[in-house]
Amino acid sequence: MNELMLGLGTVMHWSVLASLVIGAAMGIVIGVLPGLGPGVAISVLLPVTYGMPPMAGLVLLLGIYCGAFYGGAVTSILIRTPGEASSIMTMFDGYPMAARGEAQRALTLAFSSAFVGGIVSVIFLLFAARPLAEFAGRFGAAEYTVAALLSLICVVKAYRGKTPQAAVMLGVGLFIGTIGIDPTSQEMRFTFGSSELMTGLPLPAVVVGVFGMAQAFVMIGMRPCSGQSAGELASAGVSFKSMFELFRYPSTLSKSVGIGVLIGALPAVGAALSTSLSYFEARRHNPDTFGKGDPRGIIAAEAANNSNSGGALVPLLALGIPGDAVTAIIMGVFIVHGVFPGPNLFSERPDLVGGVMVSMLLINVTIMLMLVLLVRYVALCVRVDPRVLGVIILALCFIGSYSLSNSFYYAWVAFGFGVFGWFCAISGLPAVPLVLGMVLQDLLETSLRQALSVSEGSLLIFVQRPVSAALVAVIAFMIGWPLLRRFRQSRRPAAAAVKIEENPT
Amino acid sequence: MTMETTAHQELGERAQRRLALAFSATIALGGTALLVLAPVLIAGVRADVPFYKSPAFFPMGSLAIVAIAAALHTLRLLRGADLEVDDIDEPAANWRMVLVAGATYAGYIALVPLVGYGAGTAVFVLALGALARLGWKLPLAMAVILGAALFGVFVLGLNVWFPAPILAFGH
Repeated sequence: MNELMLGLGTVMHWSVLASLVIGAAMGIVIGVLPGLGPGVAISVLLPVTYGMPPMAGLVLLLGIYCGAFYGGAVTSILIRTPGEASSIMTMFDGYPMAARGEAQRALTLAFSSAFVGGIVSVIFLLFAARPLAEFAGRFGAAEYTVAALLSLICVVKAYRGKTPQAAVMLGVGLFIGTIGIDPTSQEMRFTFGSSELMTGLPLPAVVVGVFGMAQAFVMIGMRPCSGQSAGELASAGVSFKSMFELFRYPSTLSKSVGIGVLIGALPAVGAALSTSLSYFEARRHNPDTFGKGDPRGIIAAEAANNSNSGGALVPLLALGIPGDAVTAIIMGVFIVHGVFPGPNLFSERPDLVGGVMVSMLLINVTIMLMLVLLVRYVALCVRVDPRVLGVIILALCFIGSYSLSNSFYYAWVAFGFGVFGWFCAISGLPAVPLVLGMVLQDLLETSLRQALSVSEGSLLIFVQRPVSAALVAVIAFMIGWPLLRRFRQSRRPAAAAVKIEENPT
Repeated sequence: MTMETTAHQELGERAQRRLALAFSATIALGGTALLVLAPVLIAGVRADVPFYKSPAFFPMGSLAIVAIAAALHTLRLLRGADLEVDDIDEPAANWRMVLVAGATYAGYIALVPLVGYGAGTAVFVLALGALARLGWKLPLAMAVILGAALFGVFVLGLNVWFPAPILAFGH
């Protein structure tokens, strides 16, 4: 409660409130625009926040983060084009409902579900972050090592079916983080004699390139389809009759919010996984009606989608481990102002922690009000020519990367990673693990080397301490269980064949 | 609105697959090369120092992950595995336009120190807009409005400093 009061005091400044409104509005528009996700926008705008007061900068980016979750549902429902990867599930039941003339009902269900998910996730943040931070305050190097390792494994496992691709990019991110001067031995690593590389490759410039620039290159080569969506977009609106309909499905709503919050709290896993898990869990009980405009499909997807946001902030604030790629980028705002997320944040900067919590509540309320009043106009944004957006994003990428240090070197780094990011997109290599690898590299390497120094190289240190041992057990389960299951499944046909041989009749 | 490219401009599926294969193989080879050369490229690597105190320990571990995972992915592609490009971000790339955009952007970075940020941005937006077949009116309007907006916000508002343009009148 103390944090909430402090937070209220931090947020009630005109600069913070203005950033909140602007960020929320931008987030909604960005969510509506296909191909332009919150990661792209936040990476491009991150350098802008360096010149702002820390709370105002944070709130701007959080507004974009949350707004995009809401906005992504608009085009999913109206024209069967998800604005975000996490809005794909909303499309399965949202579009059929809109197609039978109930677009406003579908949109209202989506927004109200997202609102409830968002508010509950902030309440979770309020009650879970501090206890976790206090618990993590007793973490030593071994615990941090295993926690960071668990995060990396979560990232790789989140890309089911694309494990090697995710591992490649994670490895690249971890490697890029080591370029420069080793903080332990002060030796130079992979600097090739360059004075610029001595400070390493800057995360914001890499992020601007890999997310912003790469996507802008793609958008510049596209053309909008002409005229097909005008009628559907005109049906955008909110139905007050349907505002409370989601409470008729308490089981779906509560399960979806729970899944979203818990998945969001898992380090390094994003919203797309929680929405698909939530949707398929709801569909399991109602396979015949899902995919045909069942309101529970929309509720399951959107409630899980937006409840990710608060959950993802829990490990960020309490442990300094981002909950997803977007919060990894947002972490940059903290660091540039000399604030390091983690257990000490609650004692050193309770005003910032409280400010984040209060602003998340206000952001959800603000977004809901904006959508009620303006969704019809917001939906029209989808008709913006993607080539225009691509040019604008590239112009922003240049000034964003240059302004990090008033240096053309950073602009060239961003450009290089933009080209790299485009090749990754073409090749099906996901960019998110690269960013998470870069963010977690310092924590993992420092903790690992400290732990091994204490144990004089013995790995037993990771199983001798109870918390560390428990986390190692979780990792072993996550890696071992799928392998065991696959082994048992491969033996089943052989066992069946043996049975048939023994009992031929 | 869905996005589309014209068919002849798209990177066809086979070409995309070959490109992905080459890119993945390059990462595997690059990772392996850096791994082998790490003791040379990292200063202070000594045989008498415990592995966990060596500055090469973590980078070599990361590079091993890169090399092995990239090699595995390359082998899977060679055996015919799907590219698994993300649907929502699928570039279906108009590769010529991407090349033009990349070259224009590189030119932009090189141009700004010569003519200043405002003029450089205006020229970039106008040129890229025209090359992206947006006509000339829209790029001209964008060049003026966007150039002014970015100059106002970043240079005047946020005090982002640019060196004096080399080709400035009277410089």
